[in-house]
Amino acid sequence: MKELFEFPPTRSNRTKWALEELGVDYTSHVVSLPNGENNAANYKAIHPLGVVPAYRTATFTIFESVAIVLQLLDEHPAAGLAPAIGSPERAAYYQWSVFSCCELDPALFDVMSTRCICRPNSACPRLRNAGGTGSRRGVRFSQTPLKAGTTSWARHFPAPTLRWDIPVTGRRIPD
Amino acid sequence: MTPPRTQTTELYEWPPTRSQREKWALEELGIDYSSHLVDLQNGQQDSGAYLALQPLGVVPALKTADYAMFESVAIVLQLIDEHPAKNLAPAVGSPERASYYQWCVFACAELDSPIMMFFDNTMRPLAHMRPAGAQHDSALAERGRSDFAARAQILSAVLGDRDYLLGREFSGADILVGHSCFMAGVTGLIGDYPVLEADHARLQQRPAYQRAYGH
Repeated sequence: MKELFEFPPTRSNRTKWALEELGVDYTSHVVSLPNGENNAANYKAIHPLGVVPAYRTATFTIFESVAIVLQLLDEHPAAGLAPAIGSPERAAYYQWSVFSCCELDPALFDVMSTRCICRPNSACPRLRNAGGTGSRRGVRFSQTPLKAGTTSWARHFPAPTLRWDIPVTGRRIPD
Repeated sequence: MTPPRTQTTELYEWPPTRSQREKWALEELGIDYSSHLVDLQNGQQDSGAYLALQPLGVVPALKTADYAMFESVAIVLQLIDEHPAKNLAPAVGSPERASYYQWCVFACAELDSPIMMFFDNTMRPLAHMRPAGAQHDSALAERGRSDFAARAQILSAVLGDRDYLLGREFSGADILVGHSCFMAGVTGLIGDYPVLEADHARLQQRPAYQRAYGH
């Protein structure tokens, strides 16, 4: 049995999408973040940080959304969703897979957590630090719409690529 | 007769930043490589030539005869895959491989950010703050410390009853998390976690580590 521990539309959707692409038969467990189910002892036994996603099979339990997708794709080579081990294409595959969680997520989460989730007068240090040091490698946000060039990694991408126009319709996470 | 193709592997690094991960892996694997220092203090990372290789202007980057790539964790995954005889990664598709990926990603997605948040807001010289003119923020420093603590406790629990992250065998996951622990040592954050300190001391005994870190 394959079990996905998720809370849509968070990063657990990466894992869900991969499972659907691969046609894996799996069971979904929704871990309600607003209700604190992620901090319950029985979930922390699966994911000690108390975040989603986590994935459990008969032989292993893992977390980290990017790691789970890498593993799932390796387990289903016939689907052809990952280049051959040791090939130059595999280098690019690893690079962009890691880029998503180590470069894009922190930058986007800064924006999302400060502009979409935290309340206006929040004590959130990231919000208070608006336009300041940012949390990571010069990434910073402003109260004005995000434009190309406002983050160090964004300088090389055109504005439409970066614009955060996706309405946040999901449940709000309390501060 | 055609001359043999030159098999150059070029590392773009600035010790002791995260480019140490690649250097350590290259040394473990016995790969012949040439090193290019990218002087971060003098802005070489923002030169057009380097940005063509690494568009974020950070280290490391790696160039071979067949490809160029960046992201320290991705490079180590790739190098280890290219040298299966060295046994630094579990078999593809095995349950052990799942743990291997988990800890490799954990290094960059969970450990590096809080350590750097703490470093940036306590130890980074004000002349090198990003953006220029920013000041150390004690609230962010504390957040880095507490976020690191949650992750260090998880690692301590895992490493408390085994030699390496995957059990008895050293792997690329130990290189990647090991450098995060090096960063935690530089910032002093590791001091509260004796299991991690002991683990890192054991890693430092490896000849490849010593060659990479210049011990």
